[in-house]
Amino acid sequence: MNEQIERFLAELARAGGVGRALGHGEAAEHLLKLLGERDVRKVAVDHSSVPVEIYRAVKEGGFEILIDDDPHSLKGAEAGISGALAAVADSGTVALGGSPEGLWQWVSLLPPLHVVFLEAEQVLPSLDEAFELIKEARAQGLEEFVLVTGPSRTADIAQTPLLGMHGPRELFALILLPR
Amino acid sequence: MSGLADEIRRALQDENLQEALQALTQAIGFLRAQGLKSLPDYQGLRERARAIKEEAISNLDEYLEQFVAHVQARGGRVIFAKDGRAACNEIIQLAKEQGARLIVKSKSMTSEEIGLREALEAAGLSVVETDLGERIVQLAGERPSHLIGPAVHKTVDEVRRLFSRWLGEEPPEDPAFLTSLARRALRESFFRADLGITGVNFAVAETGTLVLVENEGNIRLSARLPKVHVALMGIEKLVPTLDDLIVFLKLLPRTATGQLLTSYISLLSPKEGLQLVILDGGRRSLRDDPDLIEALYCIRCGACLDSCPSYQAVGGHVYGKTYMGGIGCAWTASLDGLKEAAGFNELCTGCGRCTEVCPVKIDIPWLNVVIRSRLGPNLGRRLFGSFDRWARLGSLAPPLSNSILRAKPVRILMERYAGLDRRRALLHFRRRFSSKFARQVPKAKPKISQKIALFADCLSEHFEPEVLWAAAKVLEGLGFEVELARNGCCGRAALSQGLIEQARAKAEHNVKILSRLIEEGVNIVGVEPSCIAALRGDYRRLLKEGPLEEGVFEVMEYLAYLKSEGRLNWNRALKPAEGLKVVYHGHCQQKAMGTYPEIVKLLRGIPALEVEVVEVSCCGMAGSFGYKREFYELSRYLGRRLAQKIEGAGGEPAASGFSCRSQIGDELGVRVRHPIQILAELLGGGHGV
Repeated sequence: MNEQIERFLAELARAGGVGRALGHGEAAEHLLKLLGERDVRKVAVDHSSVPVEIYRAVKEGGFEILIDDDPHSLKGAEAGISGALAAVADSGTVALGGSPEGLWQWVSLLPPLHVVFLEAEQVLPSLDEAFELIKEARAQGLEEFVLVTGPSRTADIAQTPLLGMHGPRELFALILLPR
Repeated sequence: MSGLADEIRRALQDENLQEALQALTQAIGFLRAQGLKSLPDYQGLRERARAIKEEAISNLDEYLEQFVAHVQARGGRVIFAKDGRAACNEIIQLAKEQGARLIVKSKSMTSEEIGLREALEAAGLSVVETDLGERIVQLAGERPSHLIGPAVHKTVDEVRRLFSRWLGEEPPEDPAFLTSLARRALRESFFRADLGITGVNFAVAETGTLVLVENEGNIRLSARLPKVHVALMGIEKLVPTLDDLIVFLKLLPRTATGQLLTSYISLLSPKEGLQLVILDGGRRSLRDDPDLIEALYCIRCGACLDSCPSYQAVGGHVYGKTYMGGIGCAWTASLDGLKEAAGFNELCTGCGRCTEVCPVKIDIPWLNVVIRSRLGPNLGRRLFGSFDRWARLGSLAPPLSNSILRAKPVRILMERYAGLDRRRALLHFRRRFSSKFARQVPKAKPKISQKIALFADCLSEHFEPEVLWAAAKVLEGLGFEVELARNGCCGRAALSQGLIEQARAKAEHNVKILSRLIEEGVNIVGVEPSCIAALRGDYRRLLKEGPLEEGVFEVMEYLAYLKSEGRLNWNRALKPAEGLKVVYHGHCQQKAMGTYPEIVKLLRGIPALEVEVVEVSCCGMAGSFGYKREFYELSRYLGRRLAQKIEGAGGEPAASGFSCRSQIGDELGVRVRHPIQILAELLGGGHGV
């Protein structure tokens, strides 16, 4: 595991998220464990961005899979699973993108748990590199982007810091190490 | 004006608010410092951010055109609104056209500026605030009390009762439970709403992107769940390119909350169903106002508010306007009219902390001086502003002046007509330092003759000559030939009252006299940090040729400089300061000039002297501030906070600023010395020091 990935994991933890670097073989198992521990049944999956083996594992795991991009149909989703464009080591950030009302938007926003998968080489050093990538993605027709740094948060009641105000309470970033 | 004094008193007596504000300010201050530490080249980024804003605002109309073209090309509709009322009417109309039954709204300063929620509700539309703090404030029928924490003044129990009324349940007094309750209820609102309203943090001209910065996720939901998204932005939100945006994304979260990035930064693409309302609302007049234009560079991080001693103490309610604190004064004056800003203009003590923390380096104290000058002088301002003149008069016959001024009827008159609070202890007139110093019998010339000129500031000159004597004595002891700089008043008193032309005349006079000395190789030293800051800093606003950048020092700073050059070998002359502990309070202008750390280092280098510093931003006296009737209680409140810290540290208080010394002295009932007096004592007696 390189220094950049380590930095990303540390910064994500500081932002209230959880990051893991895993071998390809372990990733699906890790995900199933996460879902199992939380008694998750309904999973919204952005199938266009998650690795094939992950999608297959969820499907075979007996979960109810929601893949309709109408947000109303995702109301009951207990977990959202997606890929990402990139991660930023400096700030523990995950960059997501797609069309304004694509499944990626809802998967990363509506359920209380968001699990995002990244390849090791997607971890970039700083915001500058992430924006270079965003510019390239724009040129290729991607329209909208969100930089996600940790779970949704608030401290509006008596300054008590709490996670999961409107978006996910838990954010997991699973980085797949090269085989 | 007495309304403001009442508001201030109410805020200061609200224990819950005080506790909350202190906790919030402390937490944010700490987090911000941490966040900025992780930013390589913070100063460079500030410079860039400033330059981007300057350029963007000066070519505003071209960037606006470019931006709008992109938005329209992607299917967004653009509505220009010349003022707040027009913006509200447009939004009401389009909400009615859409048949909107429920509107979800996220936090936006611009929407508060134009009173959007109130206008929609008055038009019979149903609006739910979705930011947790804003929702609490909406349920309570109040206004936000703090930029970052709108409901920071509410206790958990108050929130519980509001939620109970809202949802018809009896929730426990538990922030986590209440928060999850709000999540559930508001999620339903998001799904039911047919229209969502957001603000805009940045608008990227080259791409048409709307950038929104948040932590809760309610902005994403408001913008994307309902089929219609109404985005409201002021014309100043434009940045030219995505590369420019990066600079602001590195700065804004860090200076706002200390986060490296907030939880969500959305780069929204305009789409069908977007209704983008672009508001002028007085911004173009601000752009065309060369003295106030920089107020438009504000990115609303709130760092200036959290570092403002007045705001820290009273919170946002006292200001009674959307844009609060020092920066809010310029905005309010331009958007709502000059008179509207009069009330809280003087809450600015001119300490300059705001400018230090501003990510785009807005000179907020100067904006306040400009507003003050436009408000015009009243008797109080004239009196404080021409302080040097009546001080000269008072020093002619000190016993007489002192007894007249202390007569009760005189104090009542001064309070009524000049706003000078009768509870504040008055300064005590003394014989002038300069006249006595000039009459001193010339001593034998020192061995190594190097001339140095002493800047006799009005305060020490008339009220505390022993400080100047101490400086003269220390310098003479070090082998300098000390002469008087024969300066006039630095002009800061006039400037602080908004009397810009008076201050300019004084600046011109001083620069003429002092630059002659400097050209001859004579350094100028003074004891009062605010006057030195005027010569070195404020004059840049007053004089074309700029301030005196070289050759002017605070006396302690000058000694620190000599020490660093290895030219100060005084250890043999210094009596060890056995058993002496000094608790030093730095002057705000020392912190702004950057002289504070060097002076602390110098003090710490004195053999056997124990030095402790107190980290309180401002003593609360700030020249005339603590004398004014409206602010007397706030001033004492700030003073008490400082005094408590000093007492807690346990030692002899010392301060370089005259105001700070009087404030601490009033609070603790002790005489407070300038550090140069302590040095003079350690270097041996004489001169009545």
